[in-house]
Amino acid sequence: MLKRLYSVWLIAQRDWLEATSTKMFWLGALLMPVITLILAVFGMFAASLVGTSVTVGSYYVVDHSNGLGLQIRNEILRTDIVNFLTVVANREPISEDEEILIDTHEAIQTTALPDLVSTFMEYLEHPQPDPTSITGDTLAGRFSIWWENNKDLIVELAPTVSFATYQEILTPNLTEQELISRLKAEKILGYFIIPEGFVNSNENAKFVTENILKQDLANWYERFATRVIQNKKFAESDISRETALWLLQRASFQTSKAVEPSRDSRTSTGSSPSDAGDSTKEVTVWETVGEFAPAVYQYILWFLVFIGATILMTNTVEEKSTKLVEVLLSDLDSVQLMDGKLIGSALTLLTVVGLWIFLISLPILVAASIGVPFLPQVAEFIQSGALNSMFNPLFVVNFVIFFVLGFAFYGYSLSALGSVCSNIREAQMMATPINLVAIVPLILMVPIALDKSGTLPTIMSYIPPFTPFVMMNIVAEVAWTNYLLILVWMTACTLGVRWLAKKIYTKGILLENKPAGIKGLVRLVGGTS
Amino acid sequence: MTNNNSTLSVTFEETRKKFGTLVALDRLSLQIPRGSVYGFIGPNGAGKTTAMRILVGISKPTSGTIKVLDADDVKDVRHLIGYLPEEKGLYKRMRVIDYIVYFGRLNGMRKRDAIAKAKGLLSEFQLADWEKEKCQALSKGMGQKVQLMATLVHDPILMVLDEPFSGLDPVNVEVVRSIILNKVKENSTVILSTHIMEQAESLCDAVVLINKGKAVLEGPIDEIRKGDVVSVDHEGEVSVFDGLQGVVSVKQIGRAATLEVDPECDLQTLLKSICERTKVTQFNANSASLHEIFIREVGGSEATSETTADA
Repeated sequence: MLKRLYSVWLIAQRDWLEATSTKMFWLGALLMPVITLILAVFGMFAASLVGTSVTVGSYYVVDHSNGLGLQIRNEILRTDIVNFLTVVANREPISEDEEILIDTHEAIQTTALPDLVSTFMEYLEHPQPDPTSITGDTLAGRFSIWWENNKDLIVELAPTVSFATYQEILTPNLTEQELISRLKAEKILGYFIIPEGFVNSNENAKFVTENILKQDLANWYERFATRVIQNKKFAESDISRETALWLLQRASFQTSKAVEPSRDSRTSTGSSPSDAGDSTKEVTVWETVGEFAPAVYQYILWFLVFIGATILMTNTVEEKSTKLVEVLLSDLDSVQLMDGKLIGSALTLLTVVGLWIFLISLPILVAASIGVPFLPQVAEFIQSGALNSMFNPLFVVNFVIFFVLGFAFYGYSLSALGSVCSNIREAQMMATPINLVAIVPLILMVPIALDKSGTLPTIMSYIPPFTPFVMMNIVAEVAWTNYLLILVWMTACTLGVRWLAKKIYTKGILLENKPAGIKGLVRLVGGTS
Repeated sequence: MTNNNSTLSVTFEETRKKFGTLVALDRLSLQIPRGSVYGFIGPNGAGKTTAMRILVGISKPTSGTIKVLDADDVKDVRHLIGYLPEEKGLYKRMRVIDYIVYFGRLNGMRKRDAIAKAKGLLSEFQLADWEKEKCQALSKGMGQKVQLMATLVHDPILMVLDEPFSGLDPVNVEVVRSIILNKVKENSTVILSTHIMEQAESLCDAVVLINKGKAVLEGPIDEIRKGDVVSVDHEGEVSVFDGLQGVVSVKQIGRAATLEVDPECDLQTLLKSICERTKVTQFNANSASLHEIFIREVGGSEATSETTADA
């Protein structure tokens, strides 16, 4: 027995040494985390662009509603003035500032912002008063003249003002034909049609654009239109906006996490959960991230199992084509050879994982030991306990268990397929159905993470090709009895696959031509070939 | 259980191997004595490789039995066997010495002993300078010598060599021949297959000629070659040999006829009978070569035909 195990170890050791003794291995293993990091950063950057990016440009409003367009324009203007004045209020004037900015800053200190905005609006709102009637005698008059002539400076000081992004074309009575021409020539982003009776119905209200996927302008304009219409309705109902908003306020629950009650609260009797001030705590973003730790483990598990099983299949085909396997089989049983190669590949993968952990931990440990302050986000991440979730012993231990089972299951399967093929291409073709099956738990990874006790994960956890990956994701939610049952079932299935693989491998590895598909494999198992 | 004192090294008994409907080996029965060189000869696809694979335990017979070094299960004596397959491969990225040591250790040697033995073999094969080179740097001939060293490193008492001379230059053929003969002197048994009949004739103590999975001829070389071949140069037609007593077959090209005669045939009487029928210019009596026997038994066209039986 020991001699058999020693032979298996020799095979594993040789395969591991050969795989890890190349420059390409180390280069690939070192580059992998770097490439992953770059992709993650790029992905986050791209996602942020998708979420927030806006197209800068002009729009036009065709108003059939008897003045709603004008009111929306004024609401936008009002918001711009509030934004700008808020900026001016919060910044200390500097000596280079124009006098109007200094005066406005002083005015904000003495006058309530809504009042000041209303005063300024009298001069700026549409339809605008005759410019010649505006004098510089008052602050509002001076401000309105300055506002109209210093748009660039305003954008520089308050980048959130609307005209930094969108500008309404004020040319009156443009026909639809002209607007379409401008759209086609990309001179405007789109135009809005406000129908008659828009206050009561959205029917016939349109946003016409060439890029129907780009909705940021429509969403932005809708927000102001909604506010104007709501204000009109509040006024007609004779209720103030504040009252109306209070009436409309949604009920919401703050997602929190139960924490162990302190000793004092445990000894006190009759206290309700609300009395126990420290029995819950607010869930941070990082803690939510920590909840996805099993899904991350599942992804890494899937990745390792498939990379490893594919390498194993490739090695088998190569050894078969060089006829080395014939010499090996004169010294060993086919199952010893398969086991040895499987362990060798597993050791190679664990070397890669160990290297990654080392590469990630090293800078953190070095930084901590020499007292380099962490980035605030990193510090917050460490303090949040998400790290504890990531390295929860339950996940780590089960990762090892399901890696062994999953890798053995798929490794034996792909080795057997590799043994009946004459070249890599044939092997890849034959492995396609297995790969398609195995990708299912990866596709369902997020839905399973969101409903770990659901029917789908429960059923999938009993289907051997899915078991390792699904179980990794839901292991914290599985009852012990089920867990043991699944473990026994998966182990039995893996041993069954090993037995089948041995049957196929023993005969397949010596075949010059691959057997015809499933029928050929069945014949090999049945021993009639 | 093994009994290394037995005089027999390998015994095939009614051994049969089928691949689907193809019979690769058909009730082969052989006894291979210890301390001999035994040749498996036959055309491509005859079943030689299949027999060798069964012998070393890579394949199992469909029916019948095989005893190797007196063991009923080859697995029990694997460490006493050295196998060199027909198509030879190396781990290209392994160093030469590591490759030889690896196979020594797989056969139960301690690392230190395997290294010492490997170094000795490298010197013997005049490859000591290549010890630390990677296998991919070797020429084809050198690679084959390294493979042979890996077969020999654990001092097997039974060597199974499938086409050991293919691809070797004459110098290396002599090196391999001397190694085989040395092993036999040490009372080891060497079983080899070859297409080169002259080599089998000069090296083997006994051979089996396998054709279409069946043993067509089997026995010591001298016995197989028993039976004379007579070359006759004459001026008559081939029909002059018709009805001559003791003549088994006649082939004639031009004026030269080759007569296969019965071993009991009296050559003096035969010569006299031929001279009575035609004018004889030359008359030579020889034993049949293995090559001639091979051609006779297998037939010219079949000798080169290939099937998948060796798969």
